[in-house]
Amino acid sequence: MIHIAWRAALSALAIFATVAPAYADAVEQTKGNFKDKFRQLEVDLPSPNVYRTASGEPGAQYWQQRADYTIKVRLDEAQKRIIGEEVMTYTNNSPDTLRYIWVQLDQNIFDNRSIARRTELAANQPPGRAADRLTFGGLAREYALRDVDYGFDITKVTDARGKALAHIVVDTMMRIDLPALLAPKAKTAITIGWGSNIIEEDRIGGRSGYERFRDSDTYLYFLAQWHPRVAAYTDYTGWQHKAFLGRGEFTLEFGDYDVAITVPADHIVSSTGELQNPQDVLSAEQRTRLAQARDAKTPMFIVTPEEALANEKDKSTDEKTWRFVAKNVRDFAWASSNKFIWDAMGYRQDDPQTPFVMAMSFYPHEAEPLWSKYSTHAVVHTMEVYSKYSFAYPYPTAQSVNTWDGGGMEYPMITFNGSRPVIDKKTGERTYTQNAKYGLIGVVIHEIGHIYFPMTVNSDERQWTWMDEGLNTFLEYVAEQEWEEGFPAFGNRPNIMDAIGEYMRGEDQTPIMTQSDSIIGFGPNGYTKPAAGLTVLRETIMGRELFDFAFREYSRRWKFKRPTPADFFRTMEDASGIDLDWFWRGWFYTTDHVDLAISDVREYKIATKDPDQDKPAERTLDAAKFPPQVAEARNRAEGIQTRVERFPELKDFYNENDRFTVTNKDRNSYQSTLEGLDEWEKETLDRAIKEGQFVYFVEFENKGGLVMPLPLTVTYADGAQAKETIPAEIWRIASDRVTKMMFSDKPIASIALDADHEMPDINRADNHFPRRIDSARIDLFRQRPEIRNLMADAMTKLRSEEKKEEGKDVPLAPAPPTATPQQ
Amino acid sequence: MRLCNRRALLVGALGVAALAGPALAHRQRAVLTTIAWRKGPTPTAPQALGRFDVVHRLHGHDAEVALRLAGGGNQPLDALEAQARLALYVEGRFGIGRSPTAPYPLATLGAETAAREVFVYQEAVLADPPTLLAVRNVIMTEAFADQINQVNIERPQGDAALTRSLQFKPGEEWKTVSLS
Repeated sequence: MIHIAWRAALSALAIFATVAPAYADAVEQTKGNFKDKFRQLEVDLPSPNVYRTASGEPGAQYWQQRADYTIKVRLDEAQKRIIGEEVMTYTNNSPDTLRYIWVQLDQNIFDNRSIARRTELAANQPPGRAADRLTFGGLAREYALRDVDYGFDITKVTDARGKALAHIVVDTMMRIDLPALLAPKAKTAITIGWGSNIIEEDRIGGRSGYERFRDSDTYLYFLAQWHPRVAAYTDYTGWQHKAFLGRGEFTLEFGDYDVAITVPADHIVSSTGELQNPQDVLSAEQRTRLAQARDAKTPMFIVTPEEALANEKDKSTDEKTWRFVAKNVRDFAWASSNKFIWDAMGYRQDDPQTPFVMAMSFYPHEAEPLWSKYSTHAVVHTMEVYSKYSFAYPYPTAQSVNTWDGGGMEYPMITFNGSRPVIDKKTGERTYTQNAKYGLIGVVIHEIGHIYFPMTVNSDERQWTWMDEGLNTFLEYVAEQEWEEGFPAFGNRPNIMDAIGEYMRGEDQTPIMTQSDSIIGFGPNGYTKPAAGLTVLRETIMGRELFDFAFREYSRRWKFKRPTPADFFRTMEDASGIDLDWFWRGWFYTTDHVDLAISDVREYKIATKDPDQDKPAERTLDAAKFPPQVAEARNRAEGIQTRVERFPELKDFYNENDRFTVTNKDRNSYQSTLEGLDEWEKETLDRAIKEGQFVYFVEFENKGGLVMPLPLTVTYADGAQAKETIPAEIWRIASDRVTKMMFSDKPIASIALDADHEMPDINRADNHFPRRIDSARIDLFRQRPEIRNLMADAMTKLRSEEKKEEGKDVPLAPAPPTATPQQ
Repeated sequence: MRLCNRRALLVGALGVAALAGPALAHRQRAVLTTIAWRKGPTPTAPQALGRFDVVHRLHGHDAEVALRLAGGGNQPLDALEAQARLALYVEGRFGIGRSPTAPYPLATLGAETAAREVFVYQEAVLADPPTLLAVRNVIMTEAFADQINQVNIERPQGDAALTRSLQFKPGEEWKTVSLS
């Protein structure tokens, strides 16, 4: 969910608008105009060490902690509550001795005493009475959070022998004091018992909860961040126990899970891991179908729509326990409902560790007919594409569960996804919009893609949103382009460059390298802008061959490990052999945008310096540049004879010769010049005269600040075209204006800069020479009176059909004075 | 994670938005509005010395929702009535002025679809460009809790490449920006 911190006051905006900060840093000095856009990043990146190398690899002594869980959990459907107990075995692989460990209690964010709850802001931005507003949704949410106690009720924290351990809850974290020092390479087992009420996600908002289908009074449960999970302990930040504020997600330790989930007997459970006891929870027919699905070419039902409808009417009071085992995962989530339709399709890949993956989708009938058509196909497509550009899918299952109408959330092997059909009011038929279709395909690709980043390449989203959201959105874009041409990936624009420019142009931005909870413009900043940057790198700066190799190398190096931004930056350079410091510095550390221009093109030919050749040519050029006067032509037409024509005796030397007439003085001067040339200079001149090339001085301007390559499309006078990309290093001395000299065998008719929209240039009107007329869209609309008039008539008609708008806000009235006690 | 849409009734307070979950991937709910100061008359304002040209860009998918909010049902966006309804819907939810209490008269020229997007055009005729501009943009904010409307204002003086920008989320009303 996007949340934007507004500047404190409008006056601050005015100050921003008028006062340019004058300060010196290593990039921009207070004196002179030099901006070091190519300053190397090493001075700003963390020092390489034994854990992380200067080339971006895990170092010789790289380590990470390990946490294994055995969990029993029961879903109490009547109480909308889960009750669980876990044994967490924590392995200290660090070189440090630990006295305590920190555990994440993410559900505490819904506790009314949490930092997140207590720092929620009123809906009156900018502050003031005029903007005070309370929506029905906001009010209902307040009631929901008031009516039920949310958060973890910790009932038990003991060591392996059952001895109670001291612990303290600090907002969404809990410190457990260990009974003895935990030395390097040592393990400890801790048992934690808890209960927690499940939020109604649709009412409160979160990444998990339950959904109530009011029409049928049926429920769908999706549990994530549901059990106490040990916080990450790393070489770069120690304990990652920054409180969960709702946006910066998390990073966790890898480990094995063995989870027994007890739910009502009519429920179907989708979960991280592999089902261990199908004979206890599935019918014989379902087990047969599941086996057949392994070789199915298209998704096939394990639970059919008809069976699901029957199930949801069942309302069983019996219970069943589903047991799942997951190896080497950094988290565990599950979903349970008696509404689930279940389809599956096997996916085979060339990987000895994981040759087979079962792709599956779980959804209520409210998601049909959209989900059975697209969800599982999108799961398989994601694995096919992502595996090409990173590594083979690392787990035995990949699941997409419909848990809401929009959005998505990822966990190992399981994702919660949105987009549902709608009922057409006129026909009563269930149909889905184009929005829902591409929304579903896109979200499934995105969330399944997250199983690669960050569920396997375990970056830290509590710190850096872009490391998983940005990289994943980039690969999602690649996968969408391989799903179908013209895929409306970015707000209906297939090309990401046409989508991100206006955001990058705006003022209200933070650099990509901003901690997750402080980002302004979460979506474009953490997702789209980094994805666009990687696309520019792949398609324009590095080329596919080098980029793909480097990106795969980053994925390989950090698979099942925990990379930091520096590890990514360094690996991409290390594996490709391309200095990209300037790119990271500009795209990730600043809010500059791309606005390049061709400001001038000047055409020349090499002069022979021989007056007998040059001067006639100059005369021809002069004549072309300055045509005869119109008045003279008209005089002639009117039969006017000039005085000189009437009195030829007035003519002299100057009438017979002009300034282009070659004189002996010119010829002597030429001979002197030739004699003054060295032999190599004469040879060079002779060659240039022989080849007769055109020389162009092309001026480029960088108006947006970001230094970028210059992809040029040159069109020659004969209609031929050539493309050439000038590397970004052309800006290394002067980053705002450069002149490039270009030689050509034939005259150039025009030059276009970034004609194929390889970059998000925010103003393309100045990307052509000669200039193109680039009428604004609104001007073109104005120039079509017939359309304008039709539109005006239609608006007038509609305006006359006065309609009362339905109020959306809770009516607020000033509170009466508080009654004072009588004296 | 990826941002999700929410029903109109669930549009929460700002703090709600901060906490509420399933979040975004690439397709952000957004309207992009550009406001540009232009000199001289136009076919629609032949006497104008200058004016603000306002162009709103709605994603086609979002425009479908806006159309329903505007009472236009599920008709195709290419239909004249659909575009007129969208234009009027935007007209009621967008304003500019010298201040929040002194709005400029905005003429709505109309709307059109292009490349699966909807553009709505407005103009405000003024003699001179102001140094301060108040803006209100609550388009679609009643529909989606994650809606963000970006308004880019091309400065009427100085370097045209510099743009002032404002962003509007659900619950936010008038904002003022300096154009000097």
